Amino acid sequence: MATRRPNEFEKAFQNLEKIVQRLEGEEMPLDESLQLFEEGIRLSRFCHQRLEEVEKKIELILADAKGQPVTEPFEDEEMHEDEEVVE
Amino acid sequence: MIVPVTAPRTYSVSDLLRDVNLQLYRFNDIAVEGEVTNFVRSAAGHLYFTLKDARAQIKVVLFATNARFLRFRIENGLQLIVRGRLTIYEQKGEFQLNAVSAEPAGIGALQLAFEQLKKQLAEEGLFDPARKKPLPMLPQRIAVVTSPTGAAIRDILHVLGRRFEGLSLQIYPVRVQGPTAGREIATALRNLSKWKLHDVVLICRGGGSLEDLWAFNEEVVARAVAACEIPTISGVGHETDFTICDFVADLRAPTPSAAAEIVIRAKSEICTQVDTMVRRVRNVVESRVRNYRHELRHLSSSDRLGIVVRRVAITRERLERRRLTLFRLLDARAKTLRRRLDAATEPLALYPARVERERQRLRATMATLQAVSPLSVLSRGYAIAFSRTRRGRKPIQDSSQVKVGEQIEVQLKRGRLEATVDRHTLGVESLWPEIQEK
Repeated sequence: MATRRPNEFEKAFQNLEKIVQRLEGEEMPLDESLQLFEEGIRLSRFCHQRLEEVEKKIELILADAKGQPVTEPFEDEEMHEDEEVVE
Repeated sequence: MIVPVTAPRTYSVSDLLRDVNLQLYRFNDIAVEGEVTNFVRSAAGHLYFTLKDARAQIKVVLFATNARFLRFRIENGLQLIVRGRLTIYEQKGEFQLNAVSAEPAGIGALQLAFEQLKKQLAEEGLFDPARKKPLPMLPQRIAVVTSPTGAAIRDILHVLGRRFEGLSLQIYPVRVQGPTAGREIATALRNLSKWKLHDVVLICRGGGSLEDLWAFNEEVVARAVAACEIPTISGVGHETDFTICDFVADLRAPTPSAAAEIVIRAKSEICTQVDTMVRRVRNVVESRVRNYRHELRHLSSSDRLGIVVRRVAITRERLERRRLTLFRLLDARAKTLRRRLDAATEPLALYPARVERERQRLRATMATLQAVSPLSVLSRGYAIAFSRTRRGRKPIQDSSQVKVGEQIEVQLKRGRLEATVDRHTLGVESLWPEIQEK
């Protein structure tokens, strides 16, 4: 499973918030506001990307004899009704 | 006064107590209610206490084999209904209730156990708000500790339904009911905490009686939840069901569905927030650009700009004039320079003719020179005789210049002779008589 820095998303989100506040609250040259705008768009893309990046799946997870995690497919009768969602 | 007819039977103390004990068969299965005092628990796990009411008391023993089935803790002051067999403890001659089970009076045993554990853990600080871990902003990798066949997981999957994009759900299968359930749940939590593969752990079970939900009130589960390093959401039973697990978890959801809602709402709210912020950023920048554009248009139609435009035009004109003047000046200067250059280079054009003339003169001079050269005389058959003097060679014009025997040189047209003077003859007549005759 992919490891990742846990605060990366939070940071991007907070930076985006700051940009919104600055743009809405400060008088600044057009150049600067355009730069902030670009940065804001970049951050929002990153956030969206992260929002969708986790692979959609349902599994069983349990410990093997050594206490290590193993995953198994999760089969459920009701799941098949929603097959397109699960797959 | 009645006088006994026969003398009474004399018992030994042991016999008496044994006999009485046998007579107590009518009290083989009784329940006695009273308040607990003098509670003691032995190292082996046997429980000893006294049950009393306002006027009487009786000793009770609950051996470890039975005591381990108690869900609650017996403590002094507790109003208890004890079930068991009345005996006489013969060594001490005391009544004793050999208990097989005990129930709190007026309240269920489970309820009491719940209250007791809740109180204890609260005193330990396990429910402190300060201990609660915040949920991650974006919980995406979700672990669910629950039964894979239970109602809870069904509800959760139903809630997630089609809004499942960008989430992974891993079910840690456990029994959620029965004697091993608590230990299984605790083990699952310990493993998940150790693996750290998830953003959030849901601990879930569908509704049921207090008995059904009991595993979630066990101390072993409470401690595992408290120790879990991943944020936990507890969703056990219905809205009205509170479990110890709920109190210890970082967040209590009223139901498993609600737990799933929390997770998915977190994600969709974030999504909405990001979109909103992007819209706001866009609005600000677009309106700013719009304002600038508007201002620019306004400016270009106003007098102020007219002045600026005219000034620019005037400046441009002036600049153009200056440019033309400069060009004229440069042009004139270039022409002057050209003229001076032409003047300077004109004589050079005559030079080749002059050279030719000089060359012809030189050639004529050389011809004259050749004609008068002594060498040209030689070519006509004359020779020149030289004497050798200290200062070099000297042409001999008079025979007296040399002595007999002297070495002389004779230059011919081609080559040179070295000769010796044999004799002198004076005058030229001897050599060229014919000339002399003429």
